Amino acid sequence: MTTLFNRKRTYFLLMLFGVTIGTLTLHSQTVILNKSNPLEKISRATLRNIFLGNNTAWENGVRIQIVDFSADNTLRKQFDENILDMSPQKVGMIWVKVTLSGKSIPPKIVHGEEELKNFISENEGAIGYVKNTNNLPQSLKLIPIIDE
Amino acid sequence: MFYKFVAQVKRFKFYTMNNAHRYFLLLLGLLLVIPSTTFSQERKYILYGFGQIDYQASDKKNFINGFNQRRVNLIGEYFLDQNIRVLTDLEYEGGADMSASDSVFNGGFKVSRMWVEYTVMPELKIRAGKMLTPFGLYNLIHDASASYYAVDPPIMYLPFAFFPGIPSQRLIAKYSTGLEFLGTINLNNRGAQLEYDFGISNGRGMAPDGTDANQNKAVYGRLMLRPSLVQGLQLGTSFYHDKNAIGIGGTIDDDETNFGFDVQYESRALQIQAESMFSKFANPFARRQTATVSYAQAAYTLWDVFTPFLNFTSVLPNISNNDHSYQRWNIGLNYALSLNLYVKTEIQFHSFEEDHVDGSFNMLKSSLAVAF
Repeated sequence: MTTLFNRKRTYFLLMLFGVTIGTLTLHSQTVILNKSNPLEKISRATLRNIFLGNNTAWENGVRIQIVDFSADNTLRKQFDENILDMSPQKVGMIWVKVTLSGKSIPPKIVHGEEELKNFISENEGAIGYVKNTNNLPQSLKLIPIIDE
Repeated sequence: MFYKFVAQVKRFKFYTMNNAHRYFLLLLGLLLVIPSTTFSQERKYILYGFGQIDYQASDKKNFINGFNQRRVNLIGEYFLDQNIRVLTDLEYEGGADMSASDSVFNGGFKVSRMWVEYTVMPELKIRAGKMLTPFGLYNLIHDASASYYAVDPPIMYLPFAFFPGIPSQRLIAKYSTGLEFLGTINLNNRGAQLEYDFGISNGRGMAPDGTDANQNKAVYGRLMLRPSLVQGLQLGTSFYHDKNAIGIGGTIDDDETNFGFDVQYESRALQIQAESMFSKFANPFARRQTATVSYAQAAYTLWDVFTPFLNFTSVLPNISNNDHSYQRWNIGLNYALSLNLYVKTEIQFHSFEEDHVDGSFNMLKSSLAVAF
Protein backbone atom coordinates (compact mmCIF):
# COMPACT_ATOMS: atom_id res chain seq x y z
CA MET A 1 0.00 0.00 0.00
CA THR A 2 2.76 2.36 0.99
CA THR A 3 4.67 1.46 -2.18
CA LEU A 4 1.58 2.16 -4.29
CA PHE A 5 1.09 5.49 -2.54
CA ASN A 6 4.73 6.40 -3.12
CA ARG A 7 4.44 5.41 -6.77
CA LYS A 8 1.35 7.60 -7.19
CA ARG A 9 3.12 10.47 -5.49
CA THR A 10 6.12 10.00 -7.77
CA TYR A 11 3.88 10.02 -10.86
CA PHE A 12 2.13 13.13 -9.60
CA LEU A 13 5.43 14.91 -8.97
CA LEU A 14 6.73 13.86 -12.37
CA MET A 15 3.54 15.14 -14.00
CA LEU A 16 3.79 18.42 -12.10
CA PHE A 17 7.41 18.75 -13.17
CA GLY A 18 6.45 18.07 -16.78
CA VAL A 19 3.67 20.66 -16.74
CA THR A 20 6.00 23.23 -15.16
CA ILE A 21 8.72 22.62 -17.72
CA GLY A 22 6.13 22.68 -20.51
CA THR A 23 4.76 26.00 -19.30
CA LEU A 24 8.23 27.47 -19.00
CA THR A 25 9.07 26.31 -22.53
CA LEU A 26 5.76 27.63 -23.82
CA HIS A 27 6.39 31.07 -22.49
CA SER A 28 10.14 31.18 -22.91
CA GLN A 29 9.58 34.25 -25.08
CA THR A 30 8.40 37.52 -23.63
CA VAL A 31 6.29 39.99 -25.54
CA ILE A 32 7.92 43.34 -25.94
CA LEU A 33 6.19 46.63 -26.70
CA ASN A 34 6.93 50.30 -26.98
CA LYS A 35 6.66 51.98 -23.56
CA SER A 36 3.80 54.19 -24.78
CA ASN A 37 1.57 51.18 -25.47
CA PRO A 38 -0.99 51.01 -22.63
CA LEU A 39 -1.29 47.20 -22.79
CA GLU A 40 -0.23 45.48 -19.53
CA LYS A 41 -0.77 41.84 -20.49
CA ILE A 42 -1.77 39.91 -23.57
CA SER A 43 -3.66 36.66 -24.07
CA ARG A 44 -2.37 33.88 -26.28
CA ALA A 45 -5.48 34.22 -28.47
CA THR A 46 -4.90 37.95 -29.01
CA LEU A 47 -1.25 37.33 -29.72
CA ARG A 48 -2.24 34.69 -32.26
CA ASN A 49 -4.67 37.07 -33.94
CA ILE A 50 -2.00 39.76 -34.12
CA PHE A 51 0.76 37.51 -35.44
CA LEU A 52 -1.54 35.94 -38.04
CA GLY A 53 -2.67 39.33 -39.34
CA ASN A 54 -6.22 39.29 -37.98
CA ASN A 55 -5.75 42.34 -35.75
CA THR A 56 -4.32 45.37 -37.51
CA ALA A 57 -4.72 48.16 -34.92
CA TRP A 58 -4.48 48.54 -31.14
CA GLU A 59 -7.53 49.57 -29.16
CA ASN A 60 -6.26 53.16 -29.12
CA GLY A 61 -6.25 53.16 -32.94
CA VAL A 62 -2.51 52.98 -33.44
CA ARG A 63 -1.47 50.71 -36.29
CA ILE A 64 0.06 47.42 -35.18
CA GLN A 65 3.53 46.86 -36.59
CA ILE A 66 4.75 43.32 -36.15
CA VAL A 67 8.45 42.65 -35.86
CA ASP A 68 9.59 39.08 -36.35
CA PHE A 69 12.68 37.00 -37.00
CA SER A 70 13.43 35.10 -40.18
CA ALA A 71 11.87 31.65 -40.53
CA ASP A 72 15.12 29.82 -39.74
CA ASN A 73 15.57 31.59 -36.40
CA THR A 74 15.23 29.25 -33.42
CA LEU A 75 13.27 31.75 -31.35
CA ARG A 76 10.87 32.30 -34.25
CA LYS A 77 10.37 28.55 -34.62
CA GLN A 78 9.58 28.23 -30.90
CA PHE A 79 7.16 31.16 -31.01
CA ASP A 80 5.35 29.90 -34.11
CA GLU A 81 5.07 26.38 -32.75
CA ASN A 82 4.15 27.24 -29.16
CA ILE A 83 2.03 30.35 -29.52
CA LEU A 84 0.65 30.17 -33.07
CA ASP A 85 0.61 26.36 -33.14
CA MET A 86 2.00 26.35 -36.68
CA SER A 87 5.27 25.92 -38.50
CA PRO A 88 7.09 29.04 -39.77
CA GLN A 89 6.39 27.73 -43.31
CA LYS A 90 2.65 27.73 -42.70
CA VAL A 91 2.76 31.10 -40.97
CA GLY A 92 4.61 32.44 -44.03
CA MET A 93 1.89 31.11 -46.33
CA ILE A 94 -0.84 32.68 -44.20
CA TRP A 95 1.00 36.00 -44.35
CA VAL A 96 1.12 35.84 -48.14
CA LYS A 97 -2.65 35.46 -48.03
CA VAL A 98 -3.13 38.24 -45.48
CA THR A 99 -0.83 40.63 -47.32
CA LEU A 100 -2.05 40.04 -50.84
CA SER A 101 -5.69 40.34 -49.82
CA GLY A 102 -4.89 43.86 -48.65
CA LYS A 103 -5.71 43.09 -45.03
CA SER A 104 -2.38 43.95 -43.50
CA ILE A 105 1.27 44.40 -44.32
CA PRO A 106 3.81 41.66 -43.63
CA PRO A 107 5.88 41.68 -40.43
CA LYS A 108 9.16 43.50 -40.46
CA ILE A 109 11.87 40.85 -40.43
CA VAL A 110 14.90 41.58 -38.25
CA HIS A 111 18.17 39.73 -37.85
CA GLY A 112 18.56 39.85 -34.10
CA GLU A 113 17.06 40.94 -30.81
CA GLU A 114 18.96 44.23 -30.75
CA GLU A 115 17.51 45.27 -34.12
CA LEU A 116 14.09 44.22 -32.91
CA LYS A 117 14.40 46.32 -29.77
CA ASN A 118 15.57 49.32 -31.77
CA PHE A 119 12.59 49.08 -34.11
CA ILE A 120 10.10 48.79 -31.27
CA SER A 121 11.75 51.70 -29.45
CA GLU A 122 11.09 53.91 -32.46
CA ASN A 123 7.57 52.74 -33.32
CA GLU A 124 4.63 53.29 -31.00
CA GLY A 125 2.54 50.43 -32.38
CA ALA A 126 5.29 47.84 -32.75
CA ILE A 127 5.19 44.42 -31.11
CA GLY A 128 7.71 41.60 -30.96
CA TYR A 129 9.06 38.93 -28.67
CA VAL A 130 12.47 38.36 -27.14
CA LYS A 131 14.29 35.85 -25.00
CA ASN A 132 16.94 38.12 -23.61
CA THR A 133 15.28 40.65 -21.32
CA ASN A 134 18.49 42.09 -19.88
CA ASN A 135 19.51 45.73 -20.35
CA LEU A 136 16.11 46.75 -21.61
CA PRO A 137 16.02 50.42 -22.74
CA GLN A 138 13.62 52.80 -21.00
CA SER A 139 11.59 53.11 -24.20
CA LEU A 140 10.50 49.47 -24.05
CA LYS A 141 8.40 47.32 -21.79
CA LEU A 142 7.75 43.63 -21.33
CA ILE A 143 4.29 42.19 -20.81
CA PRO A 144 3.26 38.67 -19.78
CA ILE A 145 1.38 36.22 -21.97
CA ILE A 146 -1.69 34.96 -20.17
CA ASP A 147 -3.91 31.98 -20.91
CA GLU A 148 -7.59 32.96 -20.91
CA MET B 1 8.35 60.47 -55.61
CA PHE B 2 5.45 58.29 -54.65
CA TYR B 3 2.90 60.74 -56.06
CA LYS B 4 4.71 60.73 -59.40
CA PHE B 5 4.74 56.97 -59.28
CA VAL B 6 1.00 56.85 -58.64
CA ALA B 7 0.35 59.36 -61.43
CA GLN B 8 2.35 57.23 -63.83
CA VAL B 9 0.49 54.14 -62.75
CA LYS B 10 -2.86 55.82 -63.37
CA ARG B 11 -1.85 56.65 -66.94
CA PHE B 12 -0.61 53.17 -67.76
CA LYS B 13 -3.60 51.81 -69.59
CA PHE B 14 -3.34 54.53 -72.23
CA TYR B 15 0.16 53.59 -73.21
CA THR B 16 1.19 51.41 -76.05
CA MET B 17 3.01 48.18 -75.50
CA ASN B 18 6.41 49.81 -75.80
CA ASN B 19 5.66 52.32 -73.12
CA ALA B 20 4.07 49.70 -70.93
CA HIS B 21 7.13 47.55 -71.23
CA ARG B 22 9.35 50.52 -70.58
CA TYR B 23 7.51 51.45 -67.41
CA PHE B 24 7.29 47.89 -66.26
CA LEU B 25 11.05 47.64 -66.57
CA LEU B 26 11.36 50.95 -64.76
CA LEU B 27 9.28 49.54 -61.95
CA LEU B 28 11.38 46.40 -61.82
CA GLY B 29 14.44 48.62 -61.74
CA LEU B 30 12.95 50.61 -58.87
CA LEU B 31 12.33 47.38 -57.03
CA LEU B 32 15.97 46.45 -57.43
CA VAL B 33 17.53 49.80 -56.66
CA ILE B 34 15.31 50.93 -53.83
CA PRO B 35 17.53 50.09 -50.92
CA SER B 36 16.46 48.25 -47.83
CA THR B 37 15.32 51.59 -46.44
CA THR B 38 11.93 50.89 -48.00
CA PHE B 39 11.58 48.44 -45.13
CA SER B 40 13.26 50.92 -42.82
CA GLN B 41 12.39 51.85 -39.29
CA GLU B 42 9.34 53.88 -40.22
CA ARG B 43 7.90 51.36 -42.71
CA LYS B 44 5.94 54.02 -44.52
CA TYR B 45 6.52 52.48 -47.91
CA ILE B 46 6.75 48.79 -48.74
CA LEU B 47 7.04 46.88 -51.99
CA TYR B 48 6.23 43.25 -52.55
CA GLY B 49 4.73 40.99 -55.17
CA PHE B 50 4.06 37.57 -56.56
CA GLY B 51 4.37 35.61 -59.77
CA GLN B 52 3.42 32.32 -61.34
CA ILE B 53 4.51 30.15 -64.27
CA ASP B 54 2.37 27.18 -65.31
CA TYR B 55 2.73 24.11 -67.47
CA GLN B 56 -0.33 22.22 -68.65
CA ALA B 57 -0.99 19.14 -70.75
CA SER B 58 -4.30 17.53 -71.61
CA ASP B 59 -6.05 14.93 -73.73
CA LYS B 60 -8.74 17.52 -74.49
CA LYS B 61 -9.49 18.00 -78.20
CA ASN B 62 -7.19 20.52 -79.90
CA PHE B 63 -5.46 21.36 -76.64
CA ILE B 64 -1.92 22.66 -77.05
CA ASN B 65 0.35 21.52 -74.23
CA GLY B 66 2.74 24.15 -73.02
CA PHE B 67 3.96 26.75 -70.58
CA ASN B 68 2.07 29.81 -69.50
CA GLN B 69 3.73 32.72 -67.80
CA ARG B 70 0.52 33.45 -65.95
CA ARG B 71 1.32 36.70 -64.22
CA VAL B 72 3.63 38.84 -62.17
CA ASN B 73 2.30 41.49 -59.80
CA LEU B 74 4.19 44.28 -58.10
CA ILE B 75 2.45 45.88 -55.17
CA GLY B 76 3.37 49.08 -53.40
CA GLU B 77 1.85 50.36 -50.19
CA TYR B 78 2.31 53.77 -48.68
CA PHE B 79 1.20 54.98 -45.26
CA LEU B 80 0.47 58.69 -45.35
CA ASP B 81 0.03 58.55 -41.57
CA GLN B 82 -1.29 56.14 -38.93
CA ASN B 83 -4.74 56.14 -40.50
CA ILE B 84 -4.31 56.54 -44.25
CA ARG B 85 -2.95 53.81 -46.47
CA VAL B 86 -2.59 53.71 -50.25
CA LEU B 87 -2.17 50.48 -52.23
CA THR B 88 -1.22 50.09 -55.87
CA ASP B 89 -1.06 46.70 -57.57
CA LEU B 90 0.47 46.51 -61.05
CA GLU B 91 -0.03 43.31 -62.98
CA TYR B 92 1.57 41.89 -66.08
CA GLU B 93 -0.52 38.98 -67.24
CA GLY B 94 -0.51 36.66 -70.18
CA GLY B 95 2.98 35.53 -70.99
CA ALA B 96 6.24 36.68 -72.41
CA ASP B 97 6.38 38.54 -75.70
CA MET B 98 7.70 35.98 -78.20
CA SER B 99 6.96 38.01 -81.32
CA ALA B 100 9.63 39.45 -83.57
CA SER B 101 7.79 42.75 -83.87
CA ASP B 102 7.21 45.27 -81.12
CA SER B 103 3.79 45.98 -82.59
CA VAL B 104 2.43 42.63 -81.44
CA PHE B 105 1.33 42.72 -77.83
CA ASN B 106 1.16 39.25 -76.36
CA GLY B 107 0.82 40.18 -72.73
CA GLY B 108 -1.51 42.39 -70.76
CA PHE B 109 -0.45 45.11 -68.38
CA LYS B 110 -2.92 46.72 -66.03
CA VAL B 111 -3.47 48.38 -62.69
CA SER B 112 -5.17 45.56 -60.81
CA ARG B 113 -5.85 47.53 -57.67
CA MET B 114 -5.52 51.12 -56.63
CA TRP B 115 -7.20 52.16 -53.42
CA VAL B 116 -6.98 54.47 -50.47
CA GLU B 117 -7.97 53.27 -47.02
CA TYR B 118 -8.86 55.41 -44.03
CA THR B 119 -8.98 53.80 -40.59
CA VAL B 120 -11.72 55.51 -38.60
CA MET B 121 -11.22 53.18 -35.64
CA PRO B 122 -9.83 49.65 -35.26
CA GLU B 123 -13.29 48.26 -36.06
CA LEU B 124 -14.02 50.47 -39.08
CA LYS B 125 -12.07 51.25 -42.22
CA ILE B 126 -13.28 53.02 -45.34
CA ARG B 127 -11.71 52.09 -48.63
CA ALA B 128 -12.20 53.79 -52.00
CA GLY B 129 -10.84 52.89 -55.41
CA LYS B 130 -10.44 49.76 -57.49
CA MET B 131 -10.48 46.71 -55.24
CA LEU B 132 -10.85 42.95 -55.43
CA THR B 133 -14.46 42.09 -54.59
CA PRO B 134 -14.60 40.48 -51.13
CA PHE B 135 -16.44 37.24 -51.90
CA GLY B 136 -15.82 33.81 -50.42
CA LEU B 137 -12.45 32.37 -49.48
CA TYR B 138 -10.61 33.10 -52.69
CA ASN B 139 -11.62 36.23 -54.55
CA LEU B 140 -9.26 38.43 -52.58
CA ILE B 141 -6.31 36.10 -53.20
CA HIS B 142 -6.96 33.90 -56.21
CA ASP B 143 -4.36 35.59 -58.38
CA ALA B 144 -1.72 34.97 -55.74
CA SER B 145 -1.03 31.31 -56.30
CA ALA B 146 1.58 31.20 -53.53
CA SER B 147 -1.18 31.66 -50.97
CA TYR B 148 -3.06 28.42 -51.67
CA TYR B 149 -2.22 24.76 -52.28
CA ALA B 150 -3.89 23.88 -55.60
CA VAL B 151 -2.68 25.00 -59.01
CA ASP B 152 -5.99 26.59 -59.95
CA PRO B 153 -8.36 28.44 -57.66
CA PRO B 154 -11.90 27.08 -57.39
CA ILE B 155 -14.00 27.29 -60.56
CA MET B 156 -16.51 29.67 -58.99
CA TYR B 157 -13.86 32.40 -59.15
CA LEU B 158 -12.94 31.80 -62.78
CA PRO B 159 -14.77 32.53 -66.03
CA PHE B 160 -17.04 29.60 -66.92
CA ALA B 161 -19.09 28.88 -70.08
CA PHE B 162 -22.59 28.19 -68.79
CA PHE B 163 -24.18 28.23 -72.25
CA PRO B 164 -22.81 26.96 -75.58
CA GLY B 165 -21.87 29.81 -77.89
CA ILE B 166 -21.88 32.46 -75.17
CA PRO B 167 -18.47 33.57 -73.92
CA SER B 168 -17.23 32.46 -70.51
CA GLN B 169 -17.93 34.80 -67.66
CA ARG B 170 -17.40 35.05 -63.92
CA LEU B 171 -20.40 34.83 -61.62
CA ILE B 172 -19.21 37.88 -59.70
CA ALA B 173 -17.08 40.84 -60.68
CA LYS B 174 -13.46 40.08 -59.91
CA TYR B 175 -12.77 43.77 -59.30
CA SER B 176 -15.02 46.47 -57.93
CA THR B 177 -14.50 50.18 -58.35
CA GLY B 178 -16.31 52.00 -55.59
CA LEU B 179 -16.52 52.37 -51.85
CA GLU B 180 -16.15 49.79 -49.09
CA PHE B 181 -16.70 49.71 -45.35
CA LEU B 182 -14.79 46.98 -43.60
CA GLY B 183 -13.39 46.00 -40.25
CA THR B 184 -12.74 43.37 -37.63
CA ILE B 185 -14.61 43.22 -34.34
CA ASN B 186 -13.11 41.30 -31.40
CA LEU B 187 -15.99 39.42 -29.81
CA ASN B 188 -14.22 38.21 -26.69
CA ASN B 189 -10.79 37.84 -25.11
CA ARG B 190 -10.43 34.29 -26.34
CA GLY B 191 -9.85 35.25 -29.96
CA ALA B 192 -13.37 35.21 -31.41
CA GLN B 193 -13.71 37.75 -34.21
CA LEU B 194 -16.24 38.97 -36.73
CA GLU B 195 -14.95 40.41 -39.97
CA TYR B 196 -17.21 42.38 -42.28
CA ASP B 197 -16.82 44.05 -45.64
CA PHE B 198 -19.66 45.85 -47.42
CA GLY B 199 -19.41 47.85 -50.59
CA ILE B 200 -21.06 49.64 -53.47
CA SER B 201 -19.39 49.77 -56.85
CA ASN B 202 -19.78 49.88 -60.59
CA GLY B 203 -21.41 46.76 -61.97
CA ARG B 204 -20.01 44.49 -64.65
CA GLY B 205 -20.04 45.55 -68.27
CA MET B 206 -18.07 46.43 -71.32
CA ALA B 207 -17.39 50.02 -70.29
CA PRO B 208 -13.77 51.06 -69.84
CA ASP B 209 -12.26 49.83 -66.63
CA GLY B 210 -13.23 51.97 -63.68
CA THR B 211 -16.46 53.31 -65.18
CA ASP B 212 -19.95 51.85 -65.27
CA ALA B 213 -22.01 50.58 -68.20
CA ASN B 214 -25.37 51.51 -66.66
CA GLN B 215 -26.95 53.52 -63.85
CA ASN B 216 -27.35 50.57 -61.51
CA LYS B 217 -24.62 49.97 -59.06
CA ALA B 218 -23.35 46.68 -57.66
CA VAL B 219 -23.79 46.01 -53.96
CA TYR B 220 -21.88 43.34 -52.15
CA GLY B 221 -20.82 42.19 -48.73
CA ARG B 222 -19.09 39.54 -46.73
CA LEU B 223 -19.30 38.42 -43.12
CA MET B 224 -16.81 36.06 -41.58
CA LEU B 225 -16.93 34.60 -38.09
CA ARG B 226 -13.88 33.22 -36.37
CA PRO B 227 -15.24 31.47 -33.24
CA SER B 228 -13.05 30.96 -30.20
CA LEU B 229 -14.40 27.50 -29.44
CA VAL B 230 -12.49 25.86 -32.28
CA GLN B 231 -9.16 27.47 -33.03
CA GLY B 232 -8.58 27.65 -36.78
CA LEU B 233 -12.24 27.49 -37.79
CA GLN B 234 -13.90 30.24 -39.80
CA LEU B 235 -17.38 30.50 -41.25
CA GLY B 236 -18.30 32.99 -43.93
CA THR B 237 -21.14 34.20 -46.08
CA SER B 238 -21.04 36.58 -49.04
CA PHE B 239 -23.40 38.22 -51.50
CA TYR B 240 -23.02 40.14 -54.73
CA HIS B 241 -25.71 41.80 -56.83
CA ASP B 242 -25.42 43.89 -59.95
CA LYS B 243 -27.05 44.63 -63.27
CA ASN B 244 -24.68 42.89 -65.63
CA ALA B 245 -24.47 44.88 -68.88
CA ILE B 246 -24.07 41.64 -70.84
CA GLY B 247 -25.42 38.87 -68.65
CA ILE B 248 -24.11 35.36 -68.19
CA GLY B 249 -26.80 34.11 -70.60
CA GLY B 250 -26.23 37.03 -72.97
CA THR B 251 -29.19 39.11 -71.71
CA ILE B 252 -28.60 42.86 -71.72
CA ASP B 253 -28.63 44.54 -68.30
CA ASP B 254 -29.38 41.29 -66.51
CA ASP B 255 -30.15 41.43 -62.77
CA GLU B 256 -27.74 38.91 -61.33
CA THR B 257 -27.49 37.89 -57.69
CA ASN B 258 -25.04 35.59 -55.93
CA PHE B 259 -24.95 34.16 -52.43
CA GLY B 260 -22.02 32.24 -51.09
CA PHE B 261 -21.31 30.18 -47.99
CA ASP B 262 -17.89 29.00 -46.95
CA VAL B 263 -16.18 27.15 -44.17
CA GLN B 264 -12.51 26.68 -43.49
CA TYR B 265 -10.63 24.81 -40.84
CA GLU B 266 -6.91 25.27 -40.61
CA SER B 267 -4.58 23.67 -38.10
CA ARG B 268 -0.86 23.11 -38.12
CA ALA B 269 -1.06 20.35 -40.75
CA LEU B 270 -4.64 20.12 -41.95
CA GLN B 271 -6.64 22.50 -44.11
CA ILE B 272 -10.25 21.82 -45.04
CA GLN B 273 -12.23 24.20 -47.22
CA ALA B 274 -15.74 24.00 -48.62
CA GLU B 275 -17.78 26.60 -50.46
CA SER B 276 -21.04 26.87 -52.31
CA MET B 277 -22.23 29.69 -54.50
CA PHE B 278 -25.82 30.14 -55.62
CA SER B 279 -26.16 32.36 -58.63
CA LYS B 280 -29.34 33.73 -60.22
CA PHE B 281 -29.26 34.97 -63.81
CA ALA B 282 -31.20 34.85 -67.06
CA ASN B 283 -30.51 32.16 -69.65
CA PRO B 284 -30.25 32.93 -73.41
CA PHE B 285 -34.07 32.75 -73.61
CA ALA B 286 -34.38 35.41 -70.90
CA ARG B 287 -35.76 32.87 -68.41
CA ARG B 288 -34.39 33.04 -64.87
CA GLN B 289 -32.41 30.14 -63.50
CA THR B 290 -30.26 29.35 -60.49
CA ALA B 291 -26.85 27.78 -60.79
CA THR B 292 -24.85 26.25 -57.97
CA VAL B 293 -21.12 25.86 -57.90
CA SER B 294 -19.55 24.02 -54.96
CA TYR B 295 -16.29 22.47 -53.97
CA ALA B 296 -14.67 20.74 -51.03
CA GLN B 297 -10.95 20.43 -50.56
CA ALA B 298 -8.71 18.74 -48.03
CA ALA B 299 -4.97 19.27 -47.74
CA TYR B 300 -2.56 17.77 -45.25
CA THR B 301 1.00 18.99 -44.73
CA LEU B 302 3.76 16.49 -44.07
CA TRP B 303 7.16 17.50 -42.69
CA ASP B 304 6.11 21.15 -43.12
CA VAL B 305 6.82 21.12 -46.88
CA PHE B 306 4.81 18.40 -48.69
CA THR B 307 1.10 19.02 -48.95
CA PRO B 308 -0.98 16.50 -50.86
CA PHE B 309 -4.49 17.72 -51.57
CA LEU B 310 -7.76 16.44 -52.95
CA ASN B 311 -10.51 18.57 -54.40
CA PHE B 312 -14.00 17.84 -55.67
CA THR B 313 -15.89 20.49 -57.61
CA SER B 314 -19.45 20.42 -58.88
CA VAL B 315 -21.16 22.85 -61.24
CA LEU B 316 -24.90 22.65 -61.74
CA PRO B 317 -25.87 25.33 -64.27
CA ASN B 318 -29.55 25.00 -63.49
CA ILE B 319 -30.77 23.39 -60.28
CA SER B 320 -34.23 22.74 -61.75
CA ASN B 321 -32.69 20.86 -64.66
CA ASN B 322 -29.69 18.62 -64.13
CA ASP B 323 -28.58 18.74 -67.76
CA HIS B 324 -25.04 19.81 -68.49
CA SER B 325 -23.80 19.38 -64.95
CA TYR B 326 -20.07 19.19 -64.57
CA GLN B 327 -17.77 17.61 -62.01
CA ARG B 328 -14.08 17.75 -61.48
CA TRP B 329 -11.74 15.80 -59.24
CA ASN B 330 -8.27 17.16 -58.58
CA ILE B 331 -5.52 15.30 -56.86
CA GLY B 332 -2.19 16.98 -56.40
CA LEU B 333 0.89 17.80 -54.41
CA ASN B 334 2.22 21.14 -53.25
CA TYR B 335 5.91 21.27 -52.36
CA ALA B 336 7.40 24.25 -50.55
CA LEU B 337 10.85 24.70 -52.04
CA SER B 338 11.48 27.46 -49.53
CA LEU B 339 9.49 30.08 -47.70
CA ASN B 340 7.16 31.65 -50.32
CA LEU B 341 8.33 29.49 -53.25
CA TYR B 342 6.11 26.57 -54.21
CA VAL B 343 5.98 23.89 -56.88
CA LYS B 344 2.57 22.38 -57.43
CA THR B 345 1.37 19.56 -59.62
CA GLU B 346 -2.13 18.23 -59.96
CA ILE B 347 -4.13 15.90 -62.17
CA GLN B 348 -7.63 17.07 -62.99
CA PHE B 349 -10.42 14.73 -64.08
CA HIS B 350 -13.11 16.78 -65.83
CA SER B 351 -16.44 15.14 -66.57
CA PHE B 352 -19.61 16.48 -68.15
CA GLU B 353 -22.89 14.74 -67.58
CA GLU B 354 -24.13 15.21 -71.14
CA ASP B 355 -22.53 15.81 -74.50
CA HIS B 356 -20.39 18.86 -74.31
CA VAL B 357 -18.32 20.53 -76.96
CA ASP B 358 -15.13 19.55 -75.11
CA GLY B 359 -16.33 16.17 -73.91
CA SER B 360 -14.84 14.78 -70.70
CA PHE B 361 -11.09 15.12 -70.45
CA ASN B 362 -8.11 14.93 -68.11
CA MET B 363 -5.46 17.51 -67.51
CA LEU B 364 -2.05 17.68 -65.89
CA LYS B 365 -1.11 21.05 -64.45
CA SER B 366 2.07 22.20 -62.81
CA SER B 367 2.91 25.58 -61.43
CA LEU B 368 5.81 27.46 -59.92
CA ALA B 369 4.47 30.13 -57.60
CA VAL B 370 6.47 32.73 -55.74
CA ALA B 371 5.74 35.60 -53.39
CA PHE B 372 8.48 38.11 -52.71
